[in-house]
Amino acid sequence: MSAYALKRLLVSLPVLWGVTLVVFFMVRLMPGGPARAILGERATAEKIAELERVNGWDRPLLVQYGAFLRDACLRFDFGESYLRRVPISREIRQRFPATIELAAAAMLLAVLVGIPAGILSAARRNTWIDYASMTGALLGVSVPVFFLGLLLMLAFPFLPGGGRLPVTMDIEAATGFVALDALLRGRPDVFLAFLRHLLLPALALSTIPMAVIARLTRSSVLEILGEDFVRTARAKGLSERAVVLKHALRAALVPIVTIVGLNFGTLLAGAVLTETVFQWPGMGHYVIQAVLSHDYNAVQAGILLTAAAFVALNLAVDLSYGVIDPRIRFGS
Amino acid sequence: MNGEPAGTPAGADAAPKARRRWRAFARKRSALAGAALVAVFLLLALFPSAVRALAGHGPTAQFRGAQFLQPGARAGGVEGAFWLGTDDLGQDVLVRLAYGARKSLVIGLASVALALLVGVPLGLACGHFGGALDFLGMRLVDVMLAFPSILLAVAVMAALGGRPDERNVVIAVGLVNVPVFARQVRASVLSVKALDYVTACRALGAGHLRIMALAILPNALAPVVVLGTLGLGTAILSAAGLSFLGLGVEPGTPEWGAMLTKARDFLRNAPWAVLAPGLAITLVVLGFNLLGDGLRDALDPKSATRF
Repeated sequence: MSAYALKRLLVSLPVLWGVTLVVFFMVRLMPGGPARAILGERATAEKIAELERVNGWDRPLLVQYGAFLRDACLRFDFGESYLRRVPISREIRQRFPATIELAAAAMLLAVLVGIPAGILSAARRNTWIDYASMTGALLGVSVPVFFLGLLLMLAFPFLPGGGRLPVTMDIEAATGFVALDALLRGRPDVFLAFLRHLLLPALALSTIPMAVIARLTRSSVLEILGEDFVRTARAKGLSERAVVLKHALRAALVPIVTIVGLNFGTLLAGAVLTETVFQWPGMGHYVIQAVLSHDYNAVQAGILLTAAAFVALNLAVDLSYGVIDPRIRFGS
Repeated sequence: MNGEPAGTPAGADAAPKARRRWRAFARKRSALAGAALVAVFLLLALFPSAVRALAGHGPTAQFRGAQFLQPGARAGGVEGAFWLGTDDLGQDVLVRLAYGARKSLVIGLASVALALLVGVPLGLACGHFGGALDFLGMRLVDVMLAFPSILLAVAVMAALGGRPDERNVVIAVGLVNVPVFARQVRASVLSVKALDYVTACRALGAGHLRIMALAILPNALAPVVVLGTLGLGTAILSAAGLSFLGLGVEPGTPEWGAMLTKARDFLRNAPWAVLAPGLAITLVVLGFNLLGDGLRDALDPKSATRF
């Protein structure tokens, strides 16, 4: 592994460790303690002590942290949900794919619309197309995603406004991804219903990365268009379209790929609001429900995994950047 | 555009510099539009009682039988018209919007103030002293940035009790913005640390605090002002988001995010109850974004966002 990759990896580890510390202490240092928060103000001392004993919150902090690292981080054993009495790891295994589906769909939309919009803006700089799309991009980062979700529900009343599938439909899980499972089991009706349910939340979630990608593509392409090799291409007599699409775009793609990667991590975790608006059964929704019902083991697990995924994704982007741009790898 | 080197002690030629910056700012129409939006928001937030007086009733006055009234409608026995309609409890949406503006402003300012109070000294200390303090401080910042902001805010709310509580919202949103300020201030410190006049200060025997306050801080000010403006918009958005999730202000409080959550249940019956607070949040955040971008271009042209 190159020195760059090794360095990035080594820097990530203390950050991950810090994440486990934050998540761990977050629950244990609550005012009054987690047991009291769950049971309420009028709980008796015995009930509190009992709950603390069951969850291991009465042991010394260091012992608790060791158990936390061993169980949660190494074995993915997060205990049971306080309310539903099921293993949290099972619930998470059902929820995580839902968030990935949503984030992937949103990112796909963001790229499919954002990049062409950015290219068009750059090619038609300072025309109404340019101003229109950049204004759209500015609005995209200013509109709160939960408001946008509600607007979409208002605008498209014929599309379902909640859940991943109609209540009456179900599919046996094979991979955990409804789209794949529906195709594997030969249920095109489920597949189509899923897509209908996915459309609005993915659209809502895609607006911010779409706006960011459009702006970045525009500035990236504009910068490249000023370079010498582009002037050469033009001087050779190539059409403007060939110049932009064949030569400039390739060079402009590098920072765009980085942004796509970085934003995917943000999407994964930022889906919290979108999932809540559309009742999408993903990790974000799970964490919020857990917080509101004081299910602290679930809160811990949800936040730990989402943050860890975020760190891992950022690391992956960093490493891929090293692959794409040799100057980074060999330290110019 | 700026003729002076980045490290000029403040006050050298302040008047012409200020005028130049104002002109750079005013030249951009978008910045002025942003300033206008922010000004309208501030007016509404500072004088909601004026709206209350015009309407004739308060934000929590419920009128039985006047639920889901359309904007501009009147109800029997009630003085004024409901210019933005009513919600499910017969409450005036416009008056609630005005008081929500005040709530958003208060929470936003308090959060940014907290972020500045913690982040600026942290960045100053890390940048100035360097060494182990810098290493630890920046790792702390890294860990905080390892959480997506909404998740970190939710985590802090959970740690503080998991119940809707305004004070906790301020703490949560404030903490989330600390790393941004700390990093920026530290970068500013590092950029002027090696300059001659700072070395001269040190040679003259100035203590650490004096150096940081007199020589370094003025240069960190401009980016902090920009970040503070943008941060205010983000803080208002985050607070509204937390309220929307049920983790913000107490239910029933006139606050834009909370209004959106409630209005979701009767989306088709009273779309204005959703549109009003949603548009309000959008325009305010847009205003702060435009204003912040304009300030950034005016105060530090080197980092101008070429759209």
